[in-house]
Amino acid sequence: MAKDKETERSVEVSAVAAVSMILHAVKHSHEAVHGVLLGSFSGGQVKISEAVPVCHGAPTLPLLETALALIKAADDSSNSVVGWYVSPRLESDERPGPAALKIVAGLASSDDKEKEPALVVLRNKDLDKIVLDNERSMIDSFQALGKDFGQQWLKPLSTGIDNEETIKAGVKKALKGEINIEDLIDHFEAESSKKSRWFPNDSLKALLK
Amino acid sequence: MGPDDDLPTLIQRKDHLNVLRYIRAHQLRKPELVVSHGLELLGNDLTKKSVGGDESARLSALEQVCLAALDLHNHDLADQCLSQLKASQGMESHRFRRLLARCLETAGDLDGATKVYNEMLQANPANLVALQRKYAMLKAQPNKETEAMDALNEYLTQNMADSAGWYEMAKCRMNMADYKGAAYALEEVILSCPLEASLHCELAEVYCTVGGLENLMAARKHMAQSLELDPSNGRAQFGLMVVANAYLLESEKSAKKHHDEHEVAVAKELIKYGGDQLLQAYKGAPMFAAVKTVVEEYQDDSASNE
Repeated sequence: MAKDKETERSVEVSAVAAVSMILHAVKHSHEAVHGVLLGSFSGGQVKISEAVPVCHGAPTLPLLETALALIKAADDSSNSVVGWYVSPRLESDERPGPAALKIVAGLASSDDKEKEPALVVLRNKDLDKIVLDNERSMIDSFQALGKDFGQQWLKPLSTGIDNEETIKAGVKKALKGEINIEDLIDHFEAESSKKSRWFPNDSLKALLK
Repeated sequence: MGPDDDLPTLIQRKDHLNVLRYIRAHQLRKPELVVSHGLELLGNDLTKKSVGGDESARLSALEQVCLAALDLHNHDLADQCLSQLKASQGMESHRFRRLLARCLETAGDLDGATKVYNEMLQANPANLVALQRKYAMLKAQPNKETEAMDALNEYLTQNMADSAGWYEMAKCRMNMADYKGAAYALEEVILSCPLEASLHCELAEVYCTVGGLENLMAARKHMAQSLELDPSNGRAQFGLMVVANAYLLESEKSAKKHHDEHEVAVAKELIKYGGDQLLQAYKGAPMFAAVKTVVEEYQDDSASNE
């Protein structure tokens, strides 16, 4: 996979993370959706192993704090928070939006460039056709962004996705009702919210095995 | 249509006119039903004249079928409806011009639609439908957030009592990360719906996001009010802990003259209360362990500030 020569940073999105982001966007297709990215930093590469849906509509500080606290408490893997994802409200919009930019800037806790979080934008244009058509590549459906010289997360990074076939098969299975994705707001609003597990979503990982 | 007639009964009886009336009266969004019953009522070419013996009933049905056709992206049927309405009412009818603008919007001719709405507004600057549609068109386009907010502002200037409009403004502002503006708009919504728990919870979250001691006090009050109205609201239970904790942290950082011991004590009690509510609510649930860890962290932090 090609690396950005200047900063040598690149982002790899796992199948589980990709499916989670797509299903979150499908579930709330009339609003922007946001979530946390978990994974690891390795040299100049950000490996995204999970995408945890947080909200639909604009995120607020209490929601973000609650989500991060619950993830930290429930995650027994060695994953850390490596970034934030957003799927814009409009199909033709590819910009992350001011809310996502503020959040990812807030997640950057150290001056260590290698541990700089990534902002991933899920491009909605023709996503349904791309997912349902085995001939079309998903490579352009995810765009990772890093910090630019203006300290904004608007610099495109080299973005790779893991195993497109698995992603497409997973999305198709999920759309047939085999799996339900809920973000934190859905979890709070569902009648049986206390009975379901918002994170980790083991059923999604099991579906993709 | 009798007072006890529901939609399934009317459909079963094939009472097409009253099916359309029912859908209109209850503001249901069922475009397929409207089109199928509308075509039965008006004929496939929409030329049947006798519709309940009433010309206005026929015109209302045509208008309804036109809007349903637009919803289904059936441009041909919408055009047919428009032609029938134009023949009957002429181009100068306001209702016709409104429909024409909607058809132009669906066809992607936003400039044409804007022109029609602007003409309507020139004739009547308080035409709320035209103002609403101008906002809706801008909202549907990327990179037009500022213009959309200006259009919505213009609408709200004419219709300050529209709480749905103010809620829309709050959402727009939040999407632009203008949380101060969102708080103002949500306050207007709450004036109309003071007993809505979810609104108080949202407003509290927005105040907490803005930050500052005064806003965090307001956040605490609204979050507590949300829980008062709906004690089972998990979002508010977590929210109460978070905003009360944020108040404690801000209070520590602030100057001595702003430090209120009584309010600090209240914040600590609110953290304890929110945490206890959460532990009760999640007892036996899959996420209990994680929730317990989070609650204990918040409660330990607040206790260590004593």
